[in-house]
Amino acid sequence: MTFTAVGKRVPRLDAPDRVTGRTQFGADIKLPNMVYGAVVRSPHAHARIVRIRTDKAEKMPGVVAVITGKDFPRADGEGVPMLAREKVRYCGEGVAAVAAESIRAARAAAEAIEVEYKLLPVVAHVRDATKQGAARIHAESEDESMPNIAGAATIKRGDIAAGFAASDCVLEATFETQWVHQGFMEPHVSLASIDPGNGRITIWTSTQAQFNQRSDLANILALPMSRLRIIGLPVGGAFGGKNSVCVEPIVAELACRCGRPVKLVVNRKDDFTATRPCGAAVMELKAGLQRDGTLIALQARLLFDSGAYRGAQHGNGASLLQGPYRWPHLDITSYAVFTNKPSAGARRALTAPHAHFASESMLDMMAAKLGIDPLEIRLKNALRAGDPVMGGMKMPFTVAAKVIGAAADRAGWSARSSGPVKGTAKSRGWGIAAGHWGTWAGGSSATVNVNEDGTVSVLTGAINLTGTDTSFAQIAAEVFGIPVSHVTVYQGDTDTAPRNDGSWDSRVLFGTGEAVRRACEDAKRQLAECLTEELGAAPEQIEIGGGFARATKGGAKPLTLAEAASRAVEYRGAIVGRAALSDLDPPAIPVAAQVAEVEVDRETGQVRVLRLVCAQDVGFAINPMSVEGQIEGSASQGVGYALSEEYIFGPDGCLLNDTFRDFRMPTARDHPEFDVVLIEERKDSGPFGAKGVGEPGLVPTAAAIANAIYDAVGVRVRQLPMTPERIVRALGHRSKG
Amino acid sequence: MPAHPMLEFQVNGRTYEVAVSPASRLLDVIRNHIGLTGTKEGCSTGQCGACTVLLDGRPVSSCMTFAGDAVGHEVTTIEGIAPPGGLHPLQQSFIDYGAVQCGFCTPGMILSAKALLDRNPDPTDDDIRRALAGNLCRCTGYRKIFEAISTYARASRPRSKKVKTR
Repeated sequence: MTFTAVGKRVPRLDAPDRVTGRTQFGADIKLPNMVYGAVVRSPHAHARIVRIRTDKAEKMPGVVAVITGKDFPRADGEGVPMLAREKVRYCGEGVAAVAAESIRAARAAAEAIEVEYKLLPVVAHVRDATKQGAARIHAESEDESMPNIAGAATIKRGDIAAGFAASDCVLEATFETQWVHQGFMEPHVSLASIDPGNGRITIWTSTQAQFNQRSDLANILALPMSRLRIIGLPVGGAFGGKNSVCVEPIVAELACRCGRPVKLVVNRKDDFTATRPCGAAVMELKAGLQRDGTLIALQARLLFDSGAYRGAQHGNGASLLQGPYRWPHLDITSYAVFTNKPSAGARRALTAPHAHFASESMLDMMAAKLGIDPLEIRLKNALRAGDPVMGGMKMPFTVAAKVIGAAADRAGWSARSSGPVKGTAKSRGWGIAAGHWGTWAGGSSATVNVNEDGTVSVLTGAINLTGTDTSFAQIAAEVFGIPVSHVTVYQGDTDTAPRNDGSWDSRVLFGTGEAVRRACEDAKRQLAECLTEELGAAPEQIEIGGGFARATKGGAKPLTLAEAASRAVEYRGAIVGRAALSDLDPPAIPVAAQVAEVEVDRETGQVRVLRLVCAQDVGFAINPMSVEGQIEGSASQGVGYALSEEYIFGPDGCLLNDTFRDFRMPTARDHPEFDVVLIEERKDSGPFGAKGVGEPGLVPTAAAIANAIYDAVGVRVRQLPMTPERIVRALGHRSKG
Repeated sequence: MPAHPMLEFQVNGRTYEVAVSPASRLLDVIRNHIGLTGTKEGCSTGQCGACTVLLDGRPVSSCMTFAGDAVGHEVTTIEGIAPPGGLHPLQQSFIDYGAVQCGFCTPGMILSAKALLDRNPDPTDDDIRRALAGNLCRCTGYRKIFEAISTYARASRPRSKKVKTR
């Protein structure tokens, strides 16, 4: 099948606004009579709030509203209070907020709020948190045998004892990952205003999921959804960090108090601590396999740091630990653990990058022990159609080995050379790793208006984070056989658009893209029904495409799409195609595989990623340029995760490196040569066989780099990030050993 | 509030008189007083590059530049590099090569690139990497940005290899 619009490299339709700075982000918006918000934050990681005195602040010039935790009796869906009540559980947690005539006045008032704390013992690490006698961060624990358990999940398959008994080789190792920020460049920002006439609250916010914001806010503020309108703004990066409510309830409450619009831009320091970054993990693995490399048994105990509240994705980590491989016997126990760290949230691919760093490093260790090529052990055990995956699911297609093989082929794996670079203290090495991820369509919908000139307007409630609106335009153009320029895509808000689960889990193109396709088909059906007289044919004998409506039987003269649309609109008043879906079968389980070539300085421990070959099963690339951008961006985030990004906490539990100078994300000088290989089988249940692409590219990166470092210098670094210090230390241990 | 002196700013070829403390941030003058919001604020500490503007053609972080220090100098923001409604060819190149995703870093990124190309129309790959090192982008992984800039630079090199006919 040849396509005219999908499968093409179409520049983002909103790119002209973004390159000229015309895009109005939240911080750019000024509302009439607006005041500014500021939040008072705890300087302690664990403390009882004895007293909050707001009287001085309330009397300061320009102050129009002051609120505290008492004003939020309800927490969000994960139990995160909007402002702390009774006690603070992490350094940076909000305890009060103010609104004032200027940012300066708001900050001054925030500083004038006096909070008296009684300090409590700080629980800084997941290992300490679960020990008997550890201070309790919440009264309850999900596991009676251990304190501070926020949640537990197990995955069992086969018979683990029998699996180990049948294994020729058993290996144990522990891996650790770090806290990181998602790294979006636009800090969180929200505005709220209240309509005094009907009491409705409108919130403009940088969010990935406006409808989820609405349901969360309705719960938190105890209002019916009909009293809330959430307008999702252009988002300056999110990567999971803008899934949950952040300061939206605070601006809403402040706006209700003072009756004026309130704007709050979170400063970068607060954005590092108080907006749901990604938590750390400790992962203890034991794996058994046969002499020929066949994987048999995997046992693990995973501790995901949930920080102060219940946001760690421990179940997701457990279900993904197997990687894209067949394991007959699994026994994985995974805990989310409370600590006095920030409240953990989502990050691109949730806990898949954690889990795959452990399991893919382990796979290489096993291959080395048995003298098997790292590529061979992966190909041999790759998932096939029907294999159990992600807890209770079945792998829909046999594609994993193809993806892994494609990465290796493109990289030139069989002809690789590694080892010291002559005349330098540097060594080069190659590493391979794979990963998998799951995308569910969830609540997805679209409406499509056919205009009377034959152009088309698409409306969805999905947030256009990654250029999905452009892909929707391509999909609509393909279905109608019109140029992309004849399609408008509009991101509506919670009042104007049909409901949508939001832009996370790589689900927008997969689910909403399919809804757009179906809505276009629905509109075409309606068009055909209106043209039966004109074309002298039954609706099912009318074909619409290529800019025309024509009867497949009979000799009636075809109508141009403009003529057809004009008649249909006249006849019916409007042609509005609709589609809504809650699921697509099968869900997409994309596999990604990457080969990293690195250069390690044996003296300084500095690692440079020279090249990163990224193969990914994308189903079908509706817009290959956009898909490449997603994969390169993911892998770049993976490079930072592997080598440099890390929250460093002091012994008091407070974050020490809350700036971009000290939280080191990759710069233009660090980017490797990317080589993206798209695997397109066009079998998936998304539009034209597409599947989600936004996250899998981050899943294998850290492990591929770890494996390449091992190949280069023979040391296995089991802790992220693999900083020069850690590498030098590992090299030192080896030379002493 | 103490009355502020009236300062004169040259921004994108126009003169603006703004009553502002010389110790204000140039970023606030541009965004709040003049109302040009294409310049973004990402970190407020001069570490992300989103607020990059050109001061007499050199890139500076406007969040770290005193308003008073910009007086008497030509300030160029993203709004000033193309005719109204039009695009600078470098902007077009960013669009064509998919170098823009969320677009928050993009204005600063383009200005850093423009400053480089204005003083060095024939940059090496390493020149480009260095010029962009102060502008963080989290979406793209930089490759497409790099491609957009180097392709534009090659195409607009003053002495191209095209044979000129007289």
